[in-house]
Amino acid sequence: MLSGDTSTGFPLNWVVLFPVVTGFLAVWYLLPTPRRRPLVNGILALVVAILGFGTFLFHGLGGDWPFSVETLLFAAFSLQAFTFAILMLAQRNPARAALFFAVVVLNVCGLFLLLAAPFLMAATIIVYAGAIIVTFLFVIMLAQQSGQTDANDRSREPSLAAAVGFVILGTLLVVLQRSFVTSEADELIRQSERYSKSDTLDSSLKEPARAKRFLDDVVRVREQLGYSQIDIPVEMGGVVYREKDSNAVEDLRDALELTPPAFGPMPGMEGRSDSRINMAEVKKANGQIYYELSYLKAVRDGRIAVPNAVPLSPYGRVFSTTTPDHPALAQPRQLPGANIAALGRALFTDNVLAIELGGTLLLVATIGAIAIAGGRREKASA
Amino acid sequence: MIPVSYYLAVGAALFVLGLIGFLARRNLIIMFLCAELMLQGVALNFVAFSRYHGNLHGQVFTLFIMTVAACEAGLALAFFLMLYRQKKSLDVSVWQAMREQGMEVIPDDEPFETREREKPMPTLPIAGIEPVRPEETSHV
Repeated sequence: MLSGDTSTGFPLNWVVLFPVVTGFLAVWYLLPTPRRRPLVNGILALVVAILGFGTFLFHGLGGDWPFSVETLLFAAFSLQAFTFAILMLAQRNPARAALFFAVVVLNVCGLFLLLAAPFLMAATIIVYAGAIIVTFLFVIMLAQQSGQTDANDRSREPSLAAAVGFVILGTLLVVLQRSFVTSEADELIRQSERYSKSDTLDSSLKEPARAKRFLDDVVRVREQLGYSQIDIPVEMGGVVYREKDSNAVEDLRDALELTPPAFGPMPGMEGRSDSRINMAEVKKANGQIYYELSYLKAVRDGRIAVPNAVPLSPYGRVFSTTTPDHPALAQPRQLPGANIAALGRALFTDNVLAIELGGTLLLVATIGAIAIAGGRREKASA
Repeated sequence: MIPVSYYLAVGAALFVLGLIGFLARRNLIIMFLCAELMLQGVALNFVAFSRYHGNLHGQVFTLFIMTVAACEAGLALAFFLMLYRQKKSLDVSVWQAMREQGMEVIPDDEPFETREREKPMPTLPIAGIEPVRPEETSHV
């Protein structure tokens, strides 16, 4: 029981230190200083940082990577974006930094495409890699600086800035691990499936302490997966209805006789035998636990629509037009195939006011930029 | 399908790199590029959640982020041009007069590495006869 009390529920994975430490060293080393550092060491630090971040992606989030084209593309795009982002912030020449930023944007666009957002990919390439980068290059060439300058060749507190940044990154990655790594739930699902299929009582269920720990784990993990908020559909006699609270854990506890009898243990009956335990009850309760945990995990993974989810739009249009919503049959939630049509519908049904405000903002910004930069008079007393 | 947490990790990395650049670099333009990098990380998060939840609100948010970023870029670059005209430098530290009351000016102590400049190539005096060029004719 002590181990059950002290564990935090999710295993802390030390892989999170890899990207944090290597990235900190690389960024600290590569940030410009008045004294030039050897290029070879910089390249080495960059390679080590890429390896560190790649290690986290492959091992830190507990995923088993299927060997598919999507996986390869994801790895390529994400690692390239990471690499060129580091190169961008380490460049002394602002024109090169702008070009590296364009490369980062192209890689992020590749990730958008993997996330089924083709319109956003095209729009981002046009707006960012096209318009904004060209504007940057214009300004860089108008405000040309030659030789060594304070602006390009000095950093402000590189070690402190890198430390702050990578502490934040470590925190974010730990939070991601704690909320998305479900190895404990997977283990419980596997156990309960095994218990529900075997005809003899498992050895770990025979010991009262271990059986109690198993049940406590089930209750805790089930609560972490949102048991009290989500109705789990139950099919009975061809009719699907929702059940708020099932008694599977209590049933199993009763079947294993873990509840203390009202009159204390009877003399001579402390050691239990298999024959006194109703195996049918144990199997049925374990099957129910297995079903509940797998359903909750599927909801958490986004594989099943939450049947009683509240639509996000006050008019309910976006929810009903963009997601298949059959309350009885839980369907996987998917984005519609016609991305542009659905995006336009979402924009012009639920976000009309925001669109108009965005257009007004663009107009005001145009006028403001012309008013700020428009004057051609040079300052005489500069 | 790759789980959403991987995209969130990439978004977090991009955001943090942009943050470090914004804190550490002194060139106004690079600082602004780093702010845009942070916005890219956030946009990646929004699109990943859009896929994860199966509705398009995340993509709509990203469109608005792009709109605001475009406005911001136009205005900020106009400001940079104005600032450059005043001080002939893109260094943010030349604007230390705008610091808080009671703060000291932060000096740049570390000297630049002095490197010997390359010797200029010798120039030769013009000599010889200028070659005759044919007159340009147009066939329009």
